[in-house]
Amino acid sequence: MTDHDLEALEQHTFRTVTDDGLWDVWIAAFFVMFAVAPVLSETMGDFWSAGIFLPVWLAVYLAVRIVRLRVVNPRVGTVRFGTNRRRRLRKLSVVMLIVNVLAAVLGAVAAIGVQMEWLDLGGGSIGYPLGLGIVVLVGFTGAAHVTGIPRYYLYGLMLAIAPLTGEWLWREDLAPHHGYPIVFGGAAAIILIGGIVRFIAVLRSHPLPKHPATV
Amino acid sequence: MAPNGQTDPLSNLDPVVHAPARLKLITQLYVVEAADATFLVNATGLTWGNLATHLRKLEEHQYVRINKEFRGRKPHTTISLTERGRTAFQTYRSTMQAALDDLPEP
Repeated sequence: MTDHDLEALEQHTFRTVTDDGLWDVWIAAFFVMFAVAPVLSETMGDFWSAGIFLPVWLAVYLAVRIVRLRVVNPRVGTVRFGTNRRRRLRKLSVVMLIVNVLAAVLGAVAAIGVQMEWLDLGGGSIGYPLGLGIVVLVGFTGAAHVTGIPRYYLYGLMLAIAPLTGEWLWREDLAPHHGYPIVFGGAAAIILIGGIVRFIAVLRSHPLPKHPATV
Repeated sequence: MAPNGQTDPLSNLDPVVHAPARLKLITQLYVVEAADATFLVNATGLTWGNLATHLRKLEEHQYVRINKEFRGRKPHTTISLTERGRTAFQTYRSTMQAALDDLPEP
């Protein structure tokens, strides 16, 4: 039993306890916002079409926490990880905070720029979709690296390509709203379906224990 | 004593750690800070009764710390390895490794 074996066991433990598909549902809920907001902006305006999703996203987050507490934990069990793992997760939180603040600043600058007419996103610039793609890629690569869950690399790649693909579809007159409803809607659907399948698999493989009070 | 007159390193193995079920439990607890009983049942494949028996044995030797509490109305048991338990596992690993290293080439 080498140090490498023990590290692998720790990683397996981490994935067993945390990788239940619920985070995928939460990620999908976030990217649904990108798909639906451009459609809603026609009637609600840019601010409210984006703003309305914040409470929705928070509600999904709370639902994920409650389902994990009430449904997953009694079946899978809970673990308190060692200091190394907790330190890595804290670092990931910091990186995610920076990435999200950066994304919010980029979004705000873009929105203000369009309102004040010194930024033209409808023209030939691909700076905005490229910037969004890079931010998403950095965020998911960091998450994949720290959690050791390889499919987050795939999510990062898929969601980084999405705005560029959407932009191309829109320029070719193949899709409205910069193609966001199609590309982000498609990506969110793939992530959501994967998350639900994973969640059901976890529930099936971990039935509720019948006599947990004997220990 | 081994046939060549040297002390057999395997005779120094701690029998409390060496039992397969307890070795699984200790190894699992070694890589985390604490785990609850539900997780340990899933991770080791032990029954609840076997888990209770082995944990009692480990607790007798002060290798694990068992914390029982109520979450709402439900009992919840958290188990962690003590320093003594960690040391016992490290010693077991090094003893076993040394014994395996000493095996002659076939």
